Amino acid sequence: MLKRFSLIPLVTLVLSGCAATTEPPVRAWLSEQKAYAEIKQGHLEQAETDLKKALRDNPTDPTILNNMAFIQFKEGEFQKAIGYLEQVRALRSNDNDEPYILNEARILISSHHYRKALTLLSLIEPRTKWPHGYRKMLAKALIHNGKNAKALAILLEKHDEAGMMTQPTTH
Amino acid sequence: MTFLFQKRRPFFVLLGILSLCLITPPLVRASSSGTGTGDFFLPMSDDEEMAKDFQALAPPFLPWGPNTSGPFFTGTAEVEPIGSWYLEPFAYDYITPGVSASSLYMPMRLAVGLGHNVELDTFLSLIQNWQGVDPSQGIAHSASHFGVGNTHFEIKWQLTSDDNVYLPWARPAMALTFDFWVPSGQYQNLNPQDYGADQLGNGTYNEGVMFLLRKHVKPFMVYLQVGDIVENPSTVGAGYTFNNGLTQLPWNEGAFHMVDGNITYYSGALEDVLNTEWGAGWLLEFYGETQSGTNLFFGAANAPAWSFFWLAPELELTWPHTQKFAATWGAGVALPVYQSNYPHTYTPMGTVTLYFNGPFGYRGM
Repeated sequence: MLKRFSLIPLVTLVLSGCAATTEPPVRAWLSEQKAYAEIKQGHLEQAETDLKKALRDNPTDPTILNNMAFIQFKEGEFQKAIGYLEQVRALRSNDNDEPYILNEARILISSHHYRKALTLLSLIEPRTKWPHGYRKMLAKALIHNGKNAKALAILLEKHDEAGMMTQPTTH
Repeated sequence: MTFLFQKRRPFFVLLGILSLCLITPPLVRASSSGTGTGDFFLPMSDDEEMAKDFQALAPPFLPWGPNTSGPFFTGTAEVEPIGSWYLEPFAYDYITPGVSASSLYMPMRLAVGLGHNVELDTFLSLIQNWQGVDPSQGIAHSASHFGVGNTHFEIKWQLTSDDNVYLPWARPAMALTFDFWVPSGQYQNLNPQDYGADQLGNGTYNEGVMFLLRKHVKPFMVYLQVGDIVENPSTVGAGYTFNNGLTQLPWNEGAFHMVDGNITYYSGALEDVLNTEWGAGWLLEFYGETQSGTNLFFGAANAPAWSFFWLAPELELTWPHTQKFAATWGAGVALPVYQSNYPHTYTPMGTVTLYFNGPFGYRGM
């Protein structure tokens, strides 16, 4: 009887520890970390499975959505990839959406949807600071849409450009 | 290519303008196949190359490391970041009912982050001793004395950080400390009328090296500390009480060249943070020391060997907690589990830590 009672605090302790690592944001982060390592090793299928798990626990995390888009893009599923990135953009209304706009534009340009790419990239144009690489992408989209003069103007225009594209904060 | 473009930008821009002027409109327009930039001459990567810039993003760090009071006898492996410091007054009331004595030991710790994973800690202590019995005769007498105790300096060097605060087997935070004690507390010219209450230090310069470890596994934190302390020989005199708190030199004793044995220090704690925001939780800490019969550097000891092992339940809370300032509060009691040639000592303890956080926050955040 005494033994059984002495086990209760121990079991409570173990369970409370397990409870913390099964908190949805933590569980999502652990799956996301695993998936990122798998992407780096080129194991895209495993990474996709882990990212899907992560998405079930944290369906609004932009990094998870971006990395899902990356896998879909690598697998040639451009529409699905765009879908994931549009979800991110819908969730982020401030300047933190720039990496995702650029990624979506990259997909659109490589799949020859130049008009859509230009529309998308135009969202950043009025902003005071342009992310690194944006000027070139916009010029390219303009050229593909036959707006050569404007492309030149963009390339010649003086505009603040972020030194490096930093990873957006998500938490 | 980008580099070349940046270096010779005016040249490329001129080429671009020339090509715009010279090339006919159908050639300027991007080709319908859409690969590359068509016939338009500008120093740009093609569409596929541009798509290569699409990279997977590394998961952002999901931190967990609330600022809590932590254990009383076990150090924290993380150092204060540069620009941050804290002040931590402690109170340990060592109550020894067997010899009707108590010693309220109040070290004031000042910890300063020096950068390069190094922290400097200084402990200045005040002591209030109370003695209810003349230990040499066992007769009831009352005496008390207040004064400055020994001074302790510590340099902490953090070797690693906790790799993953959610997984138990990820690499923990580890550190080494180098400790020095200066005998600033009175230990000579003791007054027989004070029955030993006026002794506020053991009179030795000490050196120590400790290994510290901390692992977060949300909501727990595990702390460990193990180390070795070498006490240099010292000359003590009549009425001196050795560092086991029991053995006393007779009042008619002359100068005595004392050699203490080697001290092994070990402690650890399990902390359960019940509320991260308030740093509220409980801890169970163990702590023990053993003084052997031999000094690591100075040969055979003539001070008594002793050892003890204590267990201490503790509670903690953080309030207030802002980005620049936080105060953590802790209380507990250390209970004797085992002792050899060492008194049965019960130790109620309390502490408050005042954190003044710089731009890089507090330790282990």
